[in-house]
Amino acid sequence: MFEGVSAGFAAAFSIANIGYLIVGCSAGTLIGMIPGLGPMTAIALMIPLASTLEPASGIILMAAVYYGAIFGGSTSSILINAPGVASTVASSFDGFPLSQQGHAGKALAVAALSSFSGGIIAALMLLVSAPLLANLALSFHSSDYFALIVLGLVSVAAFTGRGELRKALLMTILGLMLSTVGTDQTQGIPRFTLGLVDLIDGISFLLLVMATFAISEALLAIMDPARGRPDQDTKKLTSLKVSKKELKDITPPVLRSSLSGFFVGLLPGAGATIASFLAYGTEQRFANKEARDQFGRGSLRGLAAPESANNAAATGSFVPMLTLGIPGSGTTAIMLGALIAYGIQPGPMLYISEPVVFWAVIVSMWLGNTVLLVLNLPLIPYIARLLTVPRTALLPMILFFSLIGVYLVSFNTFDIFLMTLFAFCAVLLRTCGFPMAPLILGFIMGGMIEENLRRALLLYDDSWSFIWERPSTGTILLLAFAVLVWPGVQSLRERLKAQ
Amino acid sequence: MYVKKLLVGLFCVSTFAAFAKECTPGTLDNTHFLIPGGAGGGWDRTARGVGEALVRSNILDLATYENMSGGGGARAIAHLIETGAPRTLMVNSTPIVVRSLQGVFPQTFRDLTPVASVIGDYSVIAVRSQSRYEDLHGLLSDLGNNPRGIPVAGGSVSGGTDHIFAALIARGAGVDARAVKYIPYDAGGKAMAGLLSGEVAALSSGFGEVVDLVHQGWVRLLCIASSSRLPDLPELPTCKEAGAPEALFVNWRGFFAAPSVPGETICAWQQMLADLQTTREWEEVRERYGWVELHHEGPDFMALLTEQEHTLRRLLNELELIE
Amino acid sequence: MNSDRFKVRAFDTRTGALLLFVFCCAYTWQAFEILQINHTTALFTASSMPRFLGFLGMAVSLHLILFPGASSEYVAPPPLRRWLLMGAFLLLMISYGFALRPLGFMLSTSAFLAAGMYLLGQRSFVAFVSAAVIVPGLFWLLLTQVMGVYFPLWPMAT
Repeated sequence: MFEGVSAGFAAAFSIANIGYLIVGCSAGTLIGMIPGLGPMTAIALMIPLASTLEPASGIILMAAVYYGAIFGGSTSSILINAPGVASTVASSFDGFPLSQQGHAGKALAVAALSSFSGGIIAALMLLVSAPLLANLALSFHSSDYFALIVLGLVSVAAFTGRGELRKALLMTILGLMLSTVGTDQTQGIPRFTLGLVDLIDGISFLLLVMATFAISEALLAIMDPARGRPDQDTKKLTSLKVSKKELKDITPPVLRSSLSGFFVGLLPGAGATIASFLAYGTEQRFANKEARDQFGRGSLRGLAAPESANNAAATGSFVPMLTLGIPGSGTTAIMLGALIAYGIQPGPMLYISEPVVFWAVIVSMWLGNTVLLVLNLPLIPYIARLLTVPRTALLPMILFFSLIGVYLVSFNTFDIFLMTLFAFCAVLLRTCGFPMAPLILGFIMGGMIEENLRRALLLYDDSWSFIWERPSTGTILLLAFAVLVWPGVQSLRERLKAQ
Repeated sequence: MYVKKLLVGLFCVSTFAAFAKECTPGTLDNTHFLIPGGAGGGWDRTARGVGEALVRSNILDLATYENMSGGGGARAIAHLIETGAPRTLMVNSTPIVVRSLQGVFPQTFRDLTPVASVIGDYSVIAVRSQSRYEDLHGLLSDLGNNPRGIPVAGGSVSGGTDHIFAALIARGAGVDARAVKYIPYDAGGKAMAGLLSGEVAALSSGFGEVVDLVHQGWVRLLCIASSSRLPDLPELPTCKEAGAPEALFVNWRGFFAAPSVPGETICAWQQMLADLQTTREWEEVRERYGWVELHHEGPDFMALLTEQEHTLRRLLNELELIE
Repeated sequence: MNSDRFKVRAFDTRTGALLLFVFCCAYTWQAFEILQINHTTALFTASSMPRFLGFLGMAVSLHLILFPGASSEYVAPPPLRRWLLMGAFLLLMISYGFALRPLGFMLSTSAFLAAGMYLLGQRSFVAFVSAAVIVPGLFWLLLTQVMGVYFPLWPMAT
């Protein structure tokens, strides 16, 4: 094994490959920052270039683009509340408030550091346990996935720290409803399409996010000139300083989230998005009261947790792809296609028959994360300066990028109209005090929950017995229950202690 | 070279004689490819792969691409018919037949001009390597005894191509289409994960999607839905031989043009695609993606489409998914 | 305290809940219109989840209307003038959607950005040109040259 690792190192450290790493990270970051162009598009566009290279170099390039795009997505998520990548939505919950408070530089720095940690820890775990983990991932049945997503949904309670449980619940239900629009996956029946061709494929996630986050935020800013004008103190804005105390404070969440993120990312079907929401919810749930109140208002923990989780999950999703040839997400599916294009057969044989490629990929994950950190940290002050663009230009541009970003995916002007409608509704709801985040959560989870539940029921002939017949399902559901009641228990304990 | 062009020209003339169309191939410098799906998808890769090989082998000077997703292909089809684009080829595959039958869009392939198919993915039945089924007979006998106890996974919805194929296989055991316990997953990869997890007994999928896992030793193929064995894998029996004679099914990918496009252009495209088959560049592209060649032009392509429509209609009726 | 319960404020929890209640009713109604495949013996059909969600949504929103609870941090809604401004932007976005294909990317985007900036108070010609012309131009270059995305600049057929 060690010759493999060292050969992998040697391959990864070649001048050319370092060059590809840098190019990939930069290109990925830039592309990821444009709302609408995420890792999938970025990698797909890189394939023609990558296929002219050696397999190891090509994979390194694509992995770099992938990480870069995720970081780019975080950047736009934090700076303008326009997460173009599903896995960075959770980062906006505390990232955007932070940048609104004038701490954009710090927020980006924390995001970069957390992502880096998540990626490194995950790559380490990947190194040590890839084959074992693949088998674990494989043993998950539909009912287990169902339970896992219920667990994810329960995180909605995390967004309601201030007693607004019903509003959040209602928004989650709304999100679940929106996810049912389109063609039913199991039976192929159209639902809620209102006879429109354009709704047959459902509502795209990107469209919903851009409308309810970016566009509605811009519209609200248009209505209220005082809003969205972060503290103009450029020194504070562009300062990357993160105090020692703050670093110490975010370390446990980062460690926990990296681990949970990695395991969630392992499962084909789950991914960086669920991982980031889970991490956010968990950290909020298990924080003491004082810290918990900070969530949603600019808590560094609230930013660090999803950031480490999504990067760790992204790395975790490489496991089923490399060891089994099963893509866990759209992005890994594209990378898988690229691997096959090189004539490389992913599977447990991979690290026996092509050790150089296997280890080069893993090593490049470390390198990719490092390069990303090193490259992007100095750039952060310049990126943060984006916020000083005058609002008369910035707001129309945000609208433009949001609209065109979605248009570029489908080339269907219907999407522009739909986004306008959603944005208007979002503005109304937000003015009434309804949070948008649970909407997105419900939407993302909706499809998966229904799909897996129906499959489980089909397999068990319409009986719900999988809940107790499969210990894994039962355990995860129990866990979800625990997460739900934990704060109640916690406050009860605190009250008892006070007596 | 001249002889080849002459032969191809003669071929065009003779095959189009039935349509009483003059097939003098025009000159083609560029072609615009219309892709009814998003970037990175199967259609997208096919069109770009074909275009790339055509340009690199100098058959074509320029290939441009346009993605137009929506309605499972409905938008692109409507667009093609309405605009009658004279230089545009639309890529599509078996789902165009399925979805027409299901009424997802009002048009059928007859409203377009089928040009040629280029690649095809034959359906296969796969089981885990730990499975007790060594051949199709074992699976079929269990299916015959207790169909509800043998769940079969597939990467398409109920009524989709994988379901249809599973039903065709089940007929080999005398099992009614509706009795098949088909478990839909929304993508091939997830269906494969379902198979490997032991959740289902067998997987109905395309050869190209599973072949790598076969080489790795994770899955075993019980049969392939072609009329004769694949030269690359001669030990894999056809489903016909293995006990399910009705199970002939292929997910082809090919090109269509607007109905108003003149015959010379159609002929030129067919010549272009025929020339493509023997180039080294096309072979590279095919190997890259694991595509199996399936080249049918004009009337042959039409025959394939018609036959597939017939089979699908019959099965969708049995499954009571259409009237 | 009790009299507060019946005070009508323009934009508070109740309004939002009412809007959502109406939506849930419409959704539930449509859910019952979903095509049922008769022969399926399956317990859970394509309309099961929508129906469940619809009723649940109706229940929660109704509960919220009747018992809105203490509204946290009531923020005064913006004056009518500002709503009209937002409305203008909504119209602008819709026009952009209509104009994009007939007028082409360059023209419609420049018009959109320029109009948007004007609405927000921008008057400097330099600003107009740099933002409304240069940005779309650069964006288009990036997309078509660097990334090879097919994206016509000028008017094209529907």
